[in-house]
Amino acid sequence: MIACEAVSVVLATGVALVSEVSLTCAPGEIVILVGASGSGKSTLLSVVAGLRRPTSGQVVVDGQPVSRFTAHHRDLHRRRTGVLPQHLHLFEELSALENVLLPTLPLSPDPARSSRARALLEELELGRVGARPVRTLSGGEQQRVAFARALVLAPPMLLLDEPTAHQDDFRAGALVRRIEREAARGAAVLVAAHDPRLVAALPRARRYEMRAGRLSESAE
Amino acid sequence: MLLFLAVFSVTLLLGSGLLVLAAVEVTADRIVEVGPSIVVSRVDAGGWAPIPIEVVSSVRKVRGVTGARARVWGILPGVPRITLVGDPALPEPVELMQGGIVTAIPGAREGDPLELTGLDGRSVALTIVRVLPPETAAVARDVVFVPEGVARQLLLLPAGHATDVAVATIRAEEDAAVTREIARSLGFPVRALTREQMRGAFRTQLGDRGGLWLLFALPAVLGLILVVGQIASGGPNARVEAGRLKLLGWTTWDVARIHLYEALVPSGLAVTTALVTSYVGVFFAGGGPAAAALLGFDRLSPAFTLATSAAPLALMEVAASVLLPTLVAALVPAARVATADPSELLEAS
Repeated sequence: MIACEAVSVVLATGVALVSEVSLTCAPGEIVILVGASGSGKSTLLSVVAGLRRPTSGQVVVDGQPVSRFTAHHRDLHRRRTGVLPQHLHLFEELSALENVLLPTLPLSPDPARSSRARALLEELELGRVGARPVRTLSGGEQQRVAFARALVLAPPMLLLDEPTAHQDDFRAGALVRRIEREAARGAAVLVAAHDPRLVAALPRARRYEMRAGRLSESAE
Repeated sequence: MLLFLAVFSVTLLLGSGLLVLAAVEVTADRIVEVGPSIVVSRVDAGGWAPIPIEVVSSVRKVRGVTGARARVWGILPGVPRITLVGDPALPEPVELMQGGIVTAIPGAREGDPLELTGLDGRSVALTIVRVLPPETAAVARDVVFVPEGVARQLLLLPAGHATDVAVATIRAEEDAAVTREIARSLGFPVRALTREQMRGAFRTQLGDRGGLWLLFALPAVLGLILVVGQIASGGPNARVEAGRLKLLGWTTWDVARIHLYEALVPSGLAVTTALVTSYVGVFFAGGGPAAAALLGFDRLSPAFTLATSAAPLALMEVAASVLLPTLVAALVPAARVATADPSELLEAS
């Protein structure tokens, strides 16, 4: 269970990126954060991912206050969290498969993870480009590589920032089905999106709308 | 590659120098150990003077002395400079043109003629009858053994006189006392050198050259630290990469470890390669340029041989003196990158 409790992120300049946001996302649940660009969705996801600390409030995951974790514990928290960032942060000189396998490298070798990585690439229609350096792939392919990378460890939490932004309808549908399957296996899925296709394709997902860093109750 | 070359160069510099210094010290100790306990020379107002051979019997009577022997030897200036040793075991030539000679001069072959010019400028033509084994080059690289009479003629040493007297004693601890006793027993001023003084003089000379070598070595190590630190920090790209890896669940230690591997694996390979090269150069290839520079030789015999017993410790010292600064220089920037907040690292992109 992910719980944001009155989370605020305020820059040193006084600009509030996120203000007093509270929400929950239970295992097996999909929660969509909708809102325009700059509304604070990505910032909130980065706080939940343990990439940055909130200025006030806290993020609690499975009863543990992530926001108060030491750096080492936040590292371990990220290992249990699959993140698809808006800026994909791929290693462009590495192949698609190598990028997908990167989260598994610090862990003890497990052939199952390698098989899962290949299966994910096949499922996301990247099997034929798996050996190619990521820099040679299209924007949509790169996004699907980053998506597969977020799923490779079958994490209990998934934080997806605009997962269908660069996809055509067909592939966006495939990603949506995959997101639903991840939720069905028990993952808590928090999605930031302003793609209406995604919002429409996940009718059972709980929805929040963010405006200027605040969660709009009316949109829920 | 830059890191490998930097570490290799510094280790080679340190390794060659330290191996030569350590090996020469051990070799010199051994040479001094098998040499005379005390060497007695006569001195007068002009410095060294020939010593009458009859004093040998007086020296032998001094308590603590087990043997004394008059030696005829000297230096013949020129290129190459010759250390001429009169050997009573070599037969005196019937004619000077057929004189016998034993040498370790590089390139000398049995049967070859060798012309030596004496201190009075007169030349003597001799024939090489035997060449010393190449392993003796460390002590005999410029030594020529000639019949004692020939040596006297070349060195202008009058009959009945020697260059010095080599003395053997019972106990090294008593050498200083024996030396005073010998000086008292002779009727003229003498200079006596004990083994300990010979070792001290040699170490002082070696220490001076070693100090000059350190003047080169220390800035090289400091430069290496800068290079390693620069490479280990990896620049802005490394910070972004570290941020990306932490985003994927890599811990601080995972990221730091990668940076350390990147610095230490090539460094370890470079150190190993350089130490092997140093060892081969010093002990199998005649000492190399480091030995020539540190010993002040204008050239070295290819068979210049040094004792290897001090090598393991010297190699460990060199490995530690390169790898420890390298480790620290790699660790600090690696830790700085690895412990940074991921969002801060990612914002660098």
